[in-house]
Amino acid sequence: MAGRQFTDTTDFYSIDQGDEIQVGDRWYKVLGHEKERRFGMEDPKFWVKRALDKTTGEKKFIKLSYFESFHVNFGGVKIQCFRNPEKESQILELIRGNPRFMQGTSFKDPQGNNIRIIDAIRGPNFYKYMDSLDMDHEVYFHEAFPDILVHLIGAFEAIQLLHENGFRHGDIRNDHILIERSTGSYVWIDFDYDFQATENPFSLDLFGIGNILSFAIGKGIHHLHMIEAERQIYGDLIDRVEPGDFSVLDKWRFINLRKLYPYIPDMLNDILMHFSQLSELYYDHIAEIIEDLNAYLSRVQK
Amino acid sequence: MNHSILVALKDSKSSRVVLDYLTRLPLCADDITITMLHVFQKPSTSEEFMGEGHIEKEVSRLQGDLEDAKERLIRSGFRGDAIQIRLVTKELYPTVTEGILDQFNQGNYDLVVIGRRKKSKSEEFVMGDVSVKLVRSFEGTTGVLVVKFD
Repeated sequence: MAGRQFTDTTDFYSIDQGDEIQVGDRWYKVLGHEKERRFGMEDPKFWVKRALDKTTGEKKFIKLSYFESFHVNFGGVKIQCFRNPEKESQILELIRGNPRFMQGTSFKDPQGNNIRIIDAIRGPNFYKYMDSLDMDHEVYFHEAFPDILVHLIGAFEAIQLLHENGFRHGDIRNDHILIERSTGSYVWIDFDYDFQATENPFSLDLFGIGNILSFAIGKGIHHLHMIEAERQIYGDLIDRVEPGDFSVLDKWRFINLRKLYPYIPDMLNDILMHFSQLSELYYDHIAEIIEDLNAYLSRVQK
Repeated sequence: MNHSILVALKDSKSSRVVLDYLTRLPLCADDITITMLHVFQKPSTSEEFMGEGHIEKEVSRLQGDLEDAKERLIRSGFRGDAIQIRLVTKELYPTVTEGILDQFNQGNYDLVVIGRRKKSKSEEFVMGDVSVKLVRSFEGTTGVLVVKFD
């Protein structure tokens, strides 16, 4: 059956593989739905189409207008979250030409629905990249991590740019950084999430940054159940852990990595501990994290 | 010598606790002017877009709360003409802390008083805490009285 042609994208569920969408003055052939890939599961994102620009032959992602509002629980704190395509469009304008962010252009369909045409980025996400590093932690920490940290600081500076302009990324995760194969650049994707205003407007972005840092320093995530079950890896750590060693918003996630890997310097571990249940002082601004990471880098590069 | 106190009030519960504390202090009511302040936080772009975070419905309720608070202070011996109410609706602030700091800088105050509900660490991390930020911001310059409650 020949594909159908769409200009009105209101009913994005019905737009399927083989169909064509007109956006602006161009036609795009839909190749399929993008999928959310997390925890070994795949969920189709019907509002994001993989597509081919029929004029140029380039692969694009077409993000269609999908609003949602829901509550998420962070460490027992319920907070209202939103998916807001208009916010992503505003950020796309702000970061146009900035290689640390995905690039794209926003349009409206005849019904006024927001459509973003996003350039494809070729390369693994940070989670997959880290998973591909086949070396033990000590070798990783001394040989690979310093360069990764330099790239991460660059990525964090990009988030600082958003914050300074009053935007949150909204969904800072390991798989929302792509490592562009051709340049090695760390590129942020997917910034249509947002949160209710709080007295700490960037707290959840900072929490995401803390998670990425602990993932990078620890060469993976270390949960209590892993520490309990995998004695051959974690040794007697289970006998030495305390509640304060775990994340302030995820009580099972081990943060005090120096207890596991004693060669991690205090200066670096202390940055992680700002995100622990033990901490009495939290980061308010990403600039504070960047400053501490740069100070650490300066120390180790001497 | 006259002393000017800025009392930042959030909701009826914190108002009650703060006023209870203030009226129990051995203050010389004749020498004190009190400004009772409420500032509004600007909703996030997404909240506005989704029709959330409107302040209109809050304004009349808060005005009533502040009037009640003023009456209470008068009954406790403070002079009515020495108590001001400031409900800031024309300017919305990114955070309540920034609003209080801005209003503080527009006046001539000797002390800031604020209530602080007990919070878990995760709540403080996610939601932030106005009193903690005020204490840090005013460190070494102005006194901040934080009235804690459960």
